[in-house]
Amino acid sequence: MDIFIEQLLNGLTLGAMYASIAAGQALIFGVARLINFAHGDMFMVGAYVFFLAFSVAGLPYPVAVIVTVVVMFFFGAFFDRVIVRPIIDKRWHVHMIATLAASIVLYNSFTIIFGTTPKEVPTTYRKVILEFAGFQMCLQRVIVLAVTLLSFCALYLFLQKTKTGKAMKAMSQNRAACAVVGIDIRRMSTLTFAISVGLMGLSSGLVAPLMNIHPTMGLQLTFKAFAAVIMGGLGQVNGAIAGALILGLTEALAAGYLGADYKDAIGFAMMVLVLLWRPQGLFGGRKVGI
Amino acid sequence: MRKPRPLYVYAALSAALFLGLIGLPLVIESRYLLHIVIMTGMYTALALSYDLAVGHVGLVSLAHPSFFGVGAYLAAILSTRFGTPFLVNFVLGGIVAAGVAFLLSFPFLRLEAGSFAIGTLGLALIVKLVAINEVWLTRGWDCIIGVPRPRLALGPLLDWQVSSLTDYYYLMLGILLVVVALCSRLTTSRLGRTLISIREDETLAKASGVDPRKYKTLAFTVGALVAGSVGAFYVQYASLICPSEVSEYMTTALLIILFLGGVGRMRGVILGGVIFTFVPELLRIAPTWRMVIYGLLLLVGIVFAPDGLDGILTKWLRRLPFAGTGATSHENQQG
Repeated sequence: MDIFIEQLLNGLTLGAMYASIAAGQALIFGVARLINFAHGDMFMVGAYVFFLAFSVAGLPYPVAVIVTVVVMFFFGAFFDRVIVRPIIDKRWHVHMIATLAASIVLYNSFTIIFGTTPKEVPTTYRKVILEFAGFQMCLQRVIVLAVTLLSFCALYLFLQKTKTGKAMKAMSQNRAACAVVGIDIRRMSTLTFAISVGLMGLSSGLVAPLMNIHPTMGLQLTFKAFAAVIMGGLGQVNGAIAGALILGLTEALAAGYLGADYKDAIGFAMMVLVLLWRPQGLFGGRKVGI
Repeated sequence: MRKPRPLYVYAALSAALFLGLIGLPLVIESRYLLHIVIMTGMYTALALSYDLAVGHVGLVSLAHPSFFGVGAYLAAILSTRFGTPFLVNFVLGGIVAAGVAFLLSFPFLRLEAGSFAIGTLGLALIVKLVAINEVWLTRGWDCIIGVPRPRLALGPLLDWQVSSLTDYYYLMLGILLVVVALCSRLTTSRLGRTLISIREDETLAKASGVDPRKYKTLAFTVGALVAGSVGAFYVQYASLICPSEVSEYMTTALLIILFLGGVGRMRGVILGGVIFTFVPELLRIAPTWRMVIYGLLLLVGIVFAPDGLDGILTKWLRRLPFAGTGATSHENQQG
C-alpha cells in the first residue's frame, strides 16, 4: 500500500510535467493546425534558461521561475514568427520536416554550449519533507502539483472568459470564418505559441529541480506529449491533460511494481490499449476545437 | 503532350550510371569515403523500403528502425551463437521482421493516421527497451560484438568471403539493386497504382473495390522485410550492434530523406538518400557546428522546396533540350 501511494504521488508529479507539455502541444495543434516536433526541445530550452537564472545568476527561486516563464513566452513568439509563419500554409509534411529541423538545431546548439554532461539544479525545497496522514512527500513536488493546477485553472479561465481566449477557441473551430469576422489570425497564432511555450517554461522551472537536465531530453518528451495528445483526442486541451496524467500514473506505477526497465514501454502500451478501445481518443469526437 | 524522351537517352543514362557504380571503388582512395558510400547505399535501401508504406499508401510509420533492429539482432545472435551463414541470416532477418510487421498490422491498422504514427512509435520504443534490458539475449549496453564477416557460399561455383571494404561495397550494391528492382516492380505496376489510389483517396479506392487494409498490410510488411534484411547486412558489416543503433534518430534521418528527397517517387528517394547521408559528412569541415548547420540547411530546404529536391529536379529537367514527359508521371501530390 505504501508503494502504491508513493508511486501515485510520483505519477502525479510526472503527469503534471507531461500535462504542461501536452496541453501546449494540443493548443498549438488546435489553433495553428501544426504538429510541433520541436516541442520537447523547447522544454529543454526552458530547463536551461532556469538553470542559468537559478544556478548561474543566483536569483531566488520564485524570481528564477518567473524569469524562465517570461523568456520562454518570448521564445515561443519568436519561434512562431521565424519558423512557423513561413510554412504554416503549406502541407503537413512541410510542418513536420521544418519542426524536426528546428529540433535538430536546438539540441545540437545546446550540446555545443552546455556540453552533454547532465546538470542538476537542486533547490532547498527538495530536502524539505512534508508528512501528511502517514506518508511523505518533498515540498518541491507539492509546489509542482499546486502551481501546475493553478496554471491550468488560469488557462481554462483565459480560454473561457477573455475575448482573446474565445478568439483562440473560435480559430480552432473555423479558421476561415475567424478571418472573415476580423480576428487577426497571425497574431493569434503567435500568441498561442507564446502561451504554450510560456506554460512549458513554468513547468520546466518547477520540474527541473527534481531531474537531470541534458540537451537531448527533448525528443523523448515530444513523443510522450504526442502520446498524451493522441490518447486524449487530437487537439483537445482537456483530453491532452487527462492523457498526460494517465501516462504519468501508468509509468510511475509500472516503475514501482515491475521495476524501471520497462516503464516507458508500459506507458506506450497503455496508450495503444486506449486507442484500440477508442480510436478517436478518450475525448475525441465529442466537440469541435480545443 | 510533349514528346516522350527517346529510349536511347534512358539506355545511355542507365549504362553510364551502372558502369559508374561498378567502377566507383576503383576511383575512391579513402577508406573513410568508401565507408560513407556503403552507408549511403544502406540508407537508400532503407528509405526505399520505408517509402512503400509512407509514400505509396500514406502510412507514416515511425517503427522502421525497429524492423531494421529485429533483423540486425537476429543476424547477430544467430551468427555469433550458431555460426549460421550470411544468406540464412539475411533471409531470416527479413522474414522475422516481416512476420512481426504482419502480426502488428492487425491491431495498428485499426488506428487512424496520426494514432498509427504514435502507436508505431510506441513499438519502436519497446523494441529498443528489449534490446537494452533483455541482457541474456542481446547483451544490453555491452553490445553484441565480433559478428563474423559474411561469406557467400553457394555450392562449388560461388564461394565469396567478403572481407575488404570494396567487397562490402559490391555486396551493398547488389542488395541495393535488388531493393530497387523490388520496389520499382511493386510501385510501377497495377499494384503500385492501387497503392497510390489508397493514398490519394481511401474512400474512393474502397468504392472502386479495393480493400485498403490488405494493401496497407502488404506495403507495411514488404517494407519491414527489406528493413530486416538490410539490418542483417549492417550487423555483419559493422561487426557489432548496440541498442543505440535502433534509435529514434534513424527515424528522423529517414523522414528527412523521404520528404526532402521526394516522397512517393523513387528518383526523389534515391536522391534524398545520397544527399542526406553525404551532407552531414561533408559538413565535417566545420566539426563543432555541423549538425546545427545541417538543421538550418534542412529548414531552408523545406521552405524553398516543399516538394523535395525531386520537385526542383523535375522543373530543371523540363528545361533541357531533349526533355520529354518522362519525369511527370507521378506528379500527383500527397494531400
